[in-house]
This record gives sequence, C-alpha cells and structure tokens, in this order.
Amino acid sequence: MHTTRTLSESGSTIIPPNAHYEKPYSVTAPPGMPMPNALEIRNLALTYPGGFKLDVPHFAVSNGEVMGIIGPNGAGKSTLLAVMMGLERSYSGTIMRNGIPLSPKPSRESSQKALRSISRDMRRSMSAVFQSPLLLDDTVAGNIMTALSFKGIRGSAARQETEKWLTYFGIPQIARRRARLLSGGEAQRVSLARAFAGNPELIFLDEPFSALDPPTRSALIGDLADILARTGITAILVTHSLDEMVMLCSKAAVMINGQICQTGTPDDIMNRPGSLETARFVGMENLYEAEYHSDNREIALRGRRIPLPAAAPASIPAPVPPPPPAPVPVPVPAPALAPASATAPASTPAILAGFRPENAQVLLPDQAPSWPGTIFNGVIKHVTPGTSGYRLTISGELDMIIECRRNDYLQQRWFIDQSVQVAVPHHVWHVIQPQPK
Amino acid sequence: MELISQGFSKAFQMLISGDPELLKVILLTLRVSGTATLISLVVGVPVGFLLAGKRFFGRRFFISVVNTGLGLPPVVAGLTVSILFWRSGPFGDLRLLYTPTAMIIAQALIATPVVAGLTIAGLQQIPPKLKNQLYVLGASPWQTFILMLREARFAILAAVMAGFGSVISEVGASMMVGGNILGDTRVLTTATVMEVSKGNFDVAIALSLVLMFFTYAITLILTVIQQRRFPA
Repeated sequence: MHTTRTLSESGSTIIPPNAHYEKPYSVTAPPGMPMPNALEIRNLALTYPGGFKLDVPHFAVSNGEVMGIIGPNGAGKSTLLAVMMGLERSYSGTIMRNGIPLSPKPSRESSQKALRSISRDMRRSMSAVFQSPLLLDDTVAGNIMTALSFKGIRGSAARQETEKWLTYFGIPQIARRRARLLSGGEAQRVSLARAFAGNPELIFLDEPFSALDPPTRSALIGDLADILARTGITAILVTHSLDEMVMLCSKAAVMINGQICQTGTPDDIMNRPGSLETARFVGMENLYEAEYHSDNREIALRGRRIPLPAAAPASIPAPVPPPPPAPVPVPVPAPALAPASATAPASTPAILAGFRPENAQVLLPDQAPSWPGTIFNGVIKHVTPGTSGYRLTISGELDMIIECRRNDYLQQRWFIDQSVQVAVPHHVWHVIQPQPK
Repeated sequence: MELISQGFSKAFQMLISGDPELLKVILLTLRVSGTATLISLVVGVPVGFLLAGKRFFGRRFFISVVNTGLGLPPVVAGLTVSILFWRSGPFGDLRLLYTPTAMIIAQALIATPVVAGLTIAGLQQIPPKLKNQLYVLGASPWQTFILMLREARFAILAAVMAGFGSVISEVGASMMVGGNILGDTRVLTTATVMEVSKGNFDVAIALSLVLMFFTYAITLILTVIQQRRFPA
C-alpha cells in the first residue's frame, strides 16, 4: 500500500489563526486504490493474567471520522485504546495507521514486546486526552508549547499555534496562568487544546469528560463537537456515556466483555441494537419474546400483529432452526406466548421485539393515539421521577417502562393503579435475533 | 561562658584577618563537598529515575539498597574507599589515598544514595499516567526524562540540599581517606576535630561557625531557587 506522509518539521507550515484547516500529514492513495483507513485493527487478541480477554477480529476508523467506543465499565474500552496508542504492547494481531503497520511484526515471541513500540513519527502525528488533564507544572501556554516542541514546532510558530487553540477552546485569557491552579474544566480544556495543537492526524479521547461536573461537561462537549466538525480531525472517543456518543460521534462501536458486538451510527446503536446485551446497555428497556413472520414482515406479540417499517429488519435472517429460548429481560413474568397465527412454524423464528421507553405514549383509556400504532392496556404501578421526566412502570398486557415528559405527566395527573393505554407506534419497534449461546 | 565569647571573637578575628590557612581549608571543604555533590547528582538522579519509573526484575531490591544507603555511616564509606585505594588494594597503584580525590570519592559514595533515594520519592509523587501522556504526544525518551525531572524539581533540589548537607558535615570518611593533612586534605570538620583534641576550643568554635555559615549560605541559595515564584 502506497501512502505519502509528510510531517511538517519546521514551524513554517503552521496555519495562522482562523485560516482554513489543513492536515500536516497528507494521506493519498494511488489511483484506483481505496483510501486506507486512518486506523485498522486485524485479529487483535490480548489476555490479562486475571483472565480478561480482549478479542477484536476487525475494527476500522476511516479518515475524518469521530469513532466512539462505548460500553460498560470494565468492558476493555480503555485497554483497546491503550493498544492503539502504543501504551499496551503485549497483544497479538496487527494494527495499521493509514495502511502502515504500527510496529514491525515480531520475529520471535520473546522480542514481541520490544518491537511493539510505535515509531516517533507516528507518535508525533497523534495525541491524546485522558480522564485527568495530566498537565505539566508550568503555565498553560508552556504546556502547549512543550507538546508542540515534541512535534518539532518551536518559536513564534508555536506561540501562534498555542494562541489559536486556546482561542478555539475559549480560554485565551488563561494562557499565562499556572496549570496547577486551574479548575477541572479549565484544565481539561487546556489538555484538549494541547492535543489539537500541531494538527495531529488522530486524536484519542479516553473518557475526557467523566471527571467534570454536568454544566462544565456539557459546555465542553458542545465546544469539542464544534471543533471536531470544523477541523475534520479523526478522533476515537472512549466513553460509557450515551450522551457523549450521540453528541460527538459519527460512528460508534459497542464493546461488551472484551468484544465489539456492534458498529454503526449512534442512531443505529441507540434504536437498532444488534444484541440483547447492547439493547440493555443502550437502554432499550422494553424487550419481549415474539415471533417474526417474514412473509408479511410482521411481529406477532401476545396475539397482536405489528407491521414493521419497510427498512427496519434487514438483519432478520432466513428461517433458521429454532434457537434455544432467549432469556426474557426486564418486564418480568411473561405469560405464555400467545399462539401467533396459523403460519408454518418454519417462517416464524422466535425473536426479541423491543422499543425504547421514550418512544411510546401513555394515554387515558378514551384518548386516541397521535400515530398509527398498537394499543396495549395496562395499569400504572410505579412512578419514578427523573431529570427530564417521569418513568412509569405499567403492567397489563405487556409489562412496560415508559418515559413521559414532565409537562405531560403534570398535565395528565397520572396516579398509581390508574388504568391507561399505551400506544406504541409501529415504526419504533426493533427486532433482535437472539444469539444462540 | 568565657570559652564561647572567646570562640566568637577568635572566629571574627580569623575571618576578618583573612587567615590564609583558614581560607585554604574553607576552599578545600567547598571544593570537595561541592564536587562530591555534583557527582552524586550525575549518578543518583538517573539511577533514581530508572528505579522510580522502569519495571524490571529486582527493582524493589535495588530501591531497598538505595534506601539503606540513606543511612550509610560515613566511616563505612571511608573504610570502603580506604580499602580500595590502600597501597596494596585493588586501586592502590592510583596513589589516591590521602588526596582530595579520595575524599571526593568517599563523599560521593555517601551522597549518591541520598540523592537517588529522594529522587525516587519525588518522581513517585508524579501521576504515573503523565509519562503515557507525554509518550502519546510524541515526546522522545530524553524529553520525557527532562520533563519528569522538572516535575520533580522540588524533590530533586531537596535531594541536592540533603546530599550536600550530609557530606559537608561528615568527618569520619574525610579523616580516614584524607588524613587531615594541613594545606592538602584538611577540611573544616577534620580541622575542628583536631583543634578540639588539642584543647583549642576557641579555634574549634570559630571553625564550626564558619562551617555552619557556609552550609547555611549554600542551602539558602538552593532554597531560594526551590521556592522561586512561578512565572506570573
């Protein structure tokens, strides 16, 4: 694979403030060849003495993408990032940046570790922000200038670049302050400015907001989203926050138990999870065992027929031998599945059908729903207040958790044991094929 | 009481008159202890850096050795150097025994563990992830080394003060390997011991005052550097 890489050594190529962004590393593929991925992992495997295993057969981040790696704590997200940054070296497999392996293939098992170190040129074209700002005991500007000096940028070019990024992150006034005396939010802004300075090709963000308080965090996420869009820098963000994924990422990978179980757009992951684990992690709390009728694209659930939207269940495969019964999640004791229809059993594989709690509407028994959907009758059993609304636990035909906005809740004056109907629009249903264990 | 006041007046007399013998002793003291401290820095700081940062087999053992060295009795250091440079010893042909060089070697032996031990303690105060951060930002190993030392600068300056303090104040090793030869290897501490044994308490007091003055002056300079206000 041929790529041309030119790292600007002198400060002369540094862009003046507010100039159009240019990549210092120009990556071009020869005609006819596909553009190489900014980062690609093949057959990565890593086992920790404790027994934790990281197993990533394939993972790719294309140029200009903001890739999220999302998953619960202890899933191996940060370990995966450490491998990509060259900080964790005891793995097997290949990692490539722009089609170039991160490190030469080890010739012997024993020399594996030593050879895993990343060349300095590659390190200079990347940067990272961690959970803590990790600033040097120096001024704010001094911190950024030091990082620029690693990349060979010094003098007035470095000063200009420092000023530019401090301005982008809204903190030009603290340039001369001592880094140790900054607030958490300011320090993390400096850390981000330091990471972006010198226009790296790839930025790793390892839970950069998790130590910040909510207002500081959301302000910084907004600014970062803006800067990422403006610069087009490729970034990889590790987070366990769905908000951060939705607000910052153009694509995301869900990591659970050391494996990537789904890659897609944030919208895909939130609304069309590929597995039960992902569905649980992203908060698709209403999941039911159901049957899928491929001939007319319908779900049969407790005697109801729910037509699926045209594009949705592309993932439903051709009829397979009945998989072992899938565990039924959240809403607990499920009555026996109602006989779905007279269709041949071969075309009715058992599936999980679900929808997000915020995607259904709670109505009074005589109210009409606003969209075409299925009506389920039930009784309100619990009300839990939340930050943006109320969560109603409803049992009846289906056990459901429905989120309703605070305003609606207050207007309707729901009470416990009230009979209601829940309207679930057809288009919010999502179908998951249970994975045989 | 008279003894003390006599001592003070003698000290002033000696200092004001610029006693050439005393001047020689002072200069030698500063040269020997200063050089020894410098050597202990050049050796002790990198050793401390390696022991603090790198993971390797036997690391904890080496750290325990260094920490034991913090309490190394000067006479043991003196004995070691004496044996090594004794005429029939392994380095006897160098004819270094009873020279300032031998004193420097002995004092460096005393100060190096002090500097290394305090450097380790200082570097271990730095968040371990800072090194990773510098690595990912593209720092070379040398840049990383310098920046980590800069982060630990308070501890390292404390190490310099402790190292210098331990060697300028020791007498056992200097006596053993230097021999307290007038105009050649006599330093303030050995001279004080000698004057006391001769019964010249006034001179001994004068020498002690001079010794304390220089120790204080040098520590003051280092403290000023250490506690310097950060830019702006």
